[in-house]
Amino acid sequence: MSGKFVVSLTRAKDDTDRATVAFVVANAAVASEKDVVVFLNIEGTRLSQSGYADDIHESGFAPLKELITSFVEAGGKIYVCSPCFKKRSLDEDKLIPGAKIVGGAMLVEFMSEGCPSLSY
Amino acid sequence: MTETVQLPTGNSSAPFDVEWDAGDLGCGELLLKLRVRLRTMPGKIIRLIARDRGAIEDIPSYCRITGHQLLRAEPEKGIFFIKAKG
Repeated sequence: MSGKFVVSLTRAKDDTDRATVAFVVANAAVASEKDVVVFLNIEGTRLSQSGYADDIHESGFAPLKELITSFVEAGGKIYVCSPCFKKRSLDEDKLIPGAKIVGGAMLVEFMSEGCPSLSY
Repeated sequence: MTETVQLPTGNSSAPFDVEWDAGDLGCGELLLKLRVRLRTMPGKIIRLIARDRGAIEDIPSYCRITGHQLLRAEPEKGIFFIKAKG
């Protein structure tokens, strides 16, 4: 079984519930010793910006900023969709730790040998 | 593995056969147009200029996936030397 795992996240403040649960699941995967990528795309790319998630705290869950920090500190990787990032005129200098702007090839390579994925 | 590797760096004016300034193209659009060019020049070297931020990670991935050889790169300048397979 592949040791890789992808969580695709297309939401940010337009659906904080989905954004939060995506990182909860990503944390579960990284805690299970999977090689995990959270792929931030569409509106989800906004979460790549430092400070953006600071005020997102869904009832019953840890604050999103804490979930993201825990994920990265545990070895999780965050890929940020390059064209989505560009479309929204986001700032490369404000990338959160662990986030990397990538195009499609990086994701394709990561998933190319078979990789479970979830999409939020 | 898809860990970021240290790209080979070197002289950005090293010899090449073809040059293509892809401007701000990125992701699939960049890769498809690059593919067309690489297919026409087996064994030759292209000096690619790609300013999209995602290209820094994407071009090495693309080369690993497809078998084209990334000879050297200066990612901060968006310059990549790729030897087309074949």
